[in-house]
Amino acid sequence: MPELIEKLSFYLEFPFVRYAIIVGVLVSLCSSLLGVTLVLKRYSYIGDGLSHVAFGALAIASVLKLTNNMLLILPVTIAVAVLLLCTGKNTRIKGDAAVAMVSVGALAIGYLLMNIFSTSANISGDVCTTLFGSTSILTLKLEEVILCIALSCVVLFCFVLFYNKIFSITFDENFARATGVNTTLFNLLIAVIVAVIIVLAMNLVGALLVSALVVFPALSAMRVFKSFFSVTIAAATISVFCSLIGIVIAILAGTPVGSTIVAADIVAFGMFYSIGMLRNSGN
Amino acid sequence: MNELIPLIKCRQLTLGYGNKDLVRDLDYDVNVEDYLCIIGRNGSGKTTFLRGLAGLLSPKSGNIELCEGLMRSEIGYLPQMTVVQKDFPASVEEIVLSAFQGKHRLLPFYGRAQRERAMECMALTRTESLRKSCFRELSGGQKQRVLLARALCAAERLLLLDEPVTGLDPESADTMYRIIKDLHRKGTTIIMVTHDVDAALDDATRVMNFDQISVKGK
Amino acid sequence: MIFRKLFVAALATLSLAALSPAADAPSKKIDVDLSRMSGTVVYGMVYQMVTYPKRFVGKHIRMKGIFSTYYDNEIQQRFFGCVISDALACCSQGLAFELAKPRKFPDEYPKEGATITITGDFDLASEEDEEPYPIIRNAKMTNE
Repeated sequence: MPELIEKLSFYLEFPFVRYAIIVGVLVSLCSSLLGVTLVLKRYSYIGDGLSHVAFGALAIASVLKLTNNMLLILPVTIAVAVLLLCTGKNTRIKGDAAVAMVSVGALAIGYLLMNIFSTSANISGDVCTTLFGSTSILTLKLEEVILCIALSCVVLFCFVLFYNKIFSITFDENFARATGVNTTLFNLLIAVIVAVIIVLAMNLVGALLVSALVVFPALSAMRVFKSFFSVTIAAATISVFCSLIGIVIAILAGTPVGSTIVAADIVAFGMFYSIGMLRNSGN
Repeated sequence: MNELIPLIKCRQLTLGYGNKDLVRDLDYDVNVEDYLCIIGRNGSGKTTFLRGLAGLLSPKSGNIELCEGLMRSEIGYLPQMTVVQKDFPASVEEIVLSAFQGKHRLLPFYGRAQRERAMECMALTRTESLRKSCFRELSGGQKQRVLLARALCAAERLLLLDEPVTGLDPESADTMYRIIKDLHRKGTTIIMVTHDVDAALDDATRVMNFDQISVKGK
Repeated sequence: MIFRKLFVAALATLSLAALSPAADAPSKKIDVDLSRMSGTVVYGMVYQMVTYPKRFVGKHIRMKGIFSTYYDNEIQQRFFGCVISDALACCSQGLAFELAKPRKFPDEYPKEGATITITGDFDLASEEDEEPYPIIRNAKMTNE
């Protein structure tokens, strides 16, 4: 054990390892907060769809050789998020199909574009790392870390400020609207925040695994905790903890970062599921 | 009843989804201190009408006028429970307090006055002992009373209730009706959509039958 | 296949580097020992070296990776590289190296794909009107 700690502190001296941990903690914190709302609103799959869109946008950005590909990825993802989250509510089945259509479409077109136009010699590597996030978290530049910190702070600020509004819309959108809450505006806000989180989370775990980061902590917390507030806090704690553990294991054992984090989330879910079961049978 | 003061005026009101009109060219006034029951078959447009009154559905034509200085934020609404809510991890207190969100553009924290008002509403609906309970673990009747407390928190003047006793056992339904009746006696105007014609006729001051779109006073 | 492609990528920017025969590398303290780091960190580290090579110039480096070689027809020059891949094994990067004691290719080199350990000095090879690229000079190579 002391050996491991020594090794860890040795690795922590490298700035890129510290960046990875900072970004990992922030992204998992933000994604779990909104995850509770998405899961409860039955929008779990939105994260997946949006991350595929972000992947498609990334492909276009790299084909266009943009120096800062965020300039394209963020607006495109936000636009699609707004379209999916703000129009799909009256037509549940159509909305569901829309997500599937957009997500698979973006994935295919993105890969096609990368394959045809990419100047990089290692297309499969590029694709693989964006899909599974094998390396991107370890190859962050300082600007990217700063951007991530800034966006996370905006997301956290919005969430704290509008926490009660988000609760009221999540629990009962009709009631909220009938009593004068501007639900259109807040749905829009939620869509934008979700898109930002998805784009950030792509760095951490890759496009295919983003929804795990959104869904698992919320589901784990919901097994055991009984008020929205405690579920939110618990989801955030579980998510940050799992990300930290995941990153540390990945660094020490040399496993892929994204999948290790998701594996940690799955283990946590299993634990909370059992606790929930035990508690229910105890009553 | 004293003289009738209209609280809501519907004029030539048409409501519906897509091409289908469920309410057509309706002229109707809801008066201050009415206990209005809306009855009718499924699909006759009762809930649609209520959604229109609640401002969730904009009229295809005609208009709904709020009179006597009635504000949207003074209307409490008890929608039918959704699947999402049945399994929602939230405490009763959180749900009741969320009623205040419509009254403030920005409300990151609840103040003492709001907590006290929430307690009052919970007392009125006999849910104060459930304050810390988890919503999804309550019985159907308790859930409805919590949602009624929330509607009450939002509204001092007008309550719109959409089938508040559907799915409840007779005893819970009875409690619910008694609470609503008390609220009406204290001066709240009630508009209730219901399947339960007998109960409606017991307590209501007016009945609106969507099967005939004829309106009877009592 | 990917790996070969990558090696080309890593070395594609290479201009002609006159492989000057270097003197024996004196045994000195190793500044960066990649051979003892986990795959995840190694990948991040090599990325740093390739992206910000100036920070590493002059450091004594040891790395363990896969032997790879590439012949540039244009400049009639053979390059040698040590390639590492990330944990998912879908991305890899390589650093070029030149041995302190030149060997004869291919007889005295290991087979392509063999695991080798390289110890040497990190340097930035720069040629006129070409982008500088990182290279490990005065390298000692051992293979397993």
